[in-house]
Amino acid sequence: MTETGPIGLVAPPISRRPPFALLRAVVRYRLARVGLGIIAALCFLAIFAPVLAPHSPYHQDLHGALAAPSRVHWLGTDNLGRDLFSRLLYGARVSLFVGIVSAAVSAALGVVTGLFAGFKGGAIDAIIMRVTDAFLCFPPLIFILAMSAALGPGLHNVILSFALFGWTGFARITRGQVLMVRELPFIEAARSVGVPPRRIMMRHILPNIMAPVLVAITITIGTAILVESGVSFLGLGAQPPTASWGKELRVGFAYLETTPLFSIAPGVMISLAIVSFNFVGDGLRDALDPRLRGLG
Amino acid sequence: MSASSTAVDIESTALLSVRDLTVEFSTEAGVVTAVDGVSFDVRAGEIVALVGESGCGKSATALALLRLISYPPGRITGGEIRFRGRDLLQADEATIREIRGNRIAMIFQEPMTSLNPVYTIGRQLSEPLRLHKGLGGQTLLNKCVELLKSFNIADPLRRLESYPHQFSGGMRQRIMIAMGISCDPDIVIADEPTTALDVTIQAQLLELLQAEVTSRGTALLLITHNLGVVARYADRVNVMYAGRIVESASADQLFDAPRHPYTIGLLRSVPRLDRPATEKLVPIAGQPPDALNLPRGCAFHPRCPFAIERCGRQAPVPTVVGDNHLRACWVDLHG
Repeated sequence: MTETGPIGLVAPPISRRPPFALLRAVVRYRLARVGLGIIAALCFLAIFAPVLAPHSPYHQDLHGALAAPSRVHWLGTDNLGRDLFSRLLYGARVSLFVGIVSAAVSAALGVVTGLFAGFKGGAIDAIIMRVTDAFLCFPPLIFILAMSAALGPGLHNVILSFALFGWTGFARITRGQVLMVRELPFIEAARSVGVPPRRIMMRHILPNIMAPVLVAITITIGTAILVESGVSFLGLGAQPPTASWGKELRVGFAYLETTPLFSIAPGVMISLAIVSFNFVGDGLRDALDPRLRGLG
Repeated sequence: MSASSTAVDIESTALLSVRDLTVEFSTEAGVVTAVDGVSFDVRAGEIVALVGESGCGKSATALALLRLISYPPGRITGGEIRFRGRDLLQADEATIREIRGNRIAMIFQEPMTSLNPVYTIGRQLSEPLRLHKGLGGQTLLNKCVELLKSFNIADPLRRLESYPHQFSGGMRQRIMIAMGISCDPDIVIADEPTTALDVTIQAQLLELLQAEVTSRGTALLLITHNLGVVARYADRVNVMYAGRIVESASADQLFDAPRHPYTIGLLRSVPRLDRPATEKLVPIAGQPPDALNLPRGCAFHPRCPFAIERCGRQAPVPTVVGDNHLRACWVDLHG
């Protein structure tokens, strides 16, 4: 029995290393470094949007509508003469908020149900897993759109709809990991000293399965941003006059031939955000994979 | 050990008394009876060995004692496990948890994987003490330091902060043993405690384990396939084959005058220092039986050189063949 035994199957636990060590491991991957940099910049822009924005995102100037980029309006103006750059800064707040909260709510719901399913087994496991199977039958975007439509427009309903679908993926990942970890000897050893089941679940199993969940959270943030943009593009997410990348893209789309920047700029922002979260997710996955350690 | 006690005597004085324990596992191919009516006793302070080849049901027996057989696929389907007069199979879950690690402790086979990789040694070593003895703070810390010190771990205070991967296999197993005896249990069950380690470390560890249990008056149930280990440490030996105990005797009797063909075969197949070096090692013919499809009658009869017609028909029952010596065989053999 060497170190690469059953333990090698489980991604190395993240809590073994302090958070900064994990960050350092991720930063070793070039694309992850780029992704982290872009995310940091987007967060900075979103948080300090009121200070950084040269204009109010809501101030209309119908005479200066659809203006080309100039010294005053760096990216030009939209169809109502609002400063596009300022609106994109405020849009970052919406996208990041919706992305992060949707992923967090999905993960929280999914990890709890997955943990429960994997640990309890039997009928509970079967029921929970059949429910996730049922969700898999729907194309995600259609499901979320239908939910958003049913719940009514608004960002909170986008988050809710996303989480209603998103928990299933986390539940599957978590359950799979639990099934693997719960058979490891150290769990049996914990049982043999009289540790109660709930404590085994929360203290002994949960920390050992967090690595893949963390990777999934990162990637899910990107997906949620895309979904928010999509839903807003179709008119169900953010409502006027809230600035949202998806909505800017939709409105700008109508003026693609005359003012291309109006739709291209929000499109670039959406792509940048999603690609960055995916880069970081990939980097995390590699950093947590023992076989790739030392390659970088 | 006192050789004068009779079988009846054992029953009344035994700390742990197992009767007709049966454990079944459901597999896709059918139900496997891994432990089939096993009975034995462990008296206070005694070192009892459970010997047998892989798959004979030793580990399942050990797990069943603490009701650690997970269902599904496993299930204890019958018998009695009396610990201090109380049947553990009837006890509720809370009572069992109170006994686990506290009155009956277990040491597992794989030191590499028996410790949780995400927690420090200190946290894990202290878990039984915290759970069962309610220790905390400085008292708990002192106790842990003391434990590590008595198990020859250098610089214990600093090592409590280390993670399992920072220790060698031998050190980890010493920590597992320290954890096992930390609550001063009445019985320690050691399931092949040294199998995963190299030979020199094995000897060191067993010496340490023996010294610890002897000095505390703790009984030890040693589960092993290694007859050398049995000869050296055990007071009493139970030999298992295909889920049953085929012979049970004091270690001296078993090695001097084995009465079951399987035991005889086992002893002939390992080199011994007390026999002439020219003596040939004789392997036991055939293969261990398929647990799903055990032979009728005595499970050992297809491999047994002494088998008679009755062996294939009827399973032998354990009978007393000497002082405190039981064996399950139809043929009357003398070593």
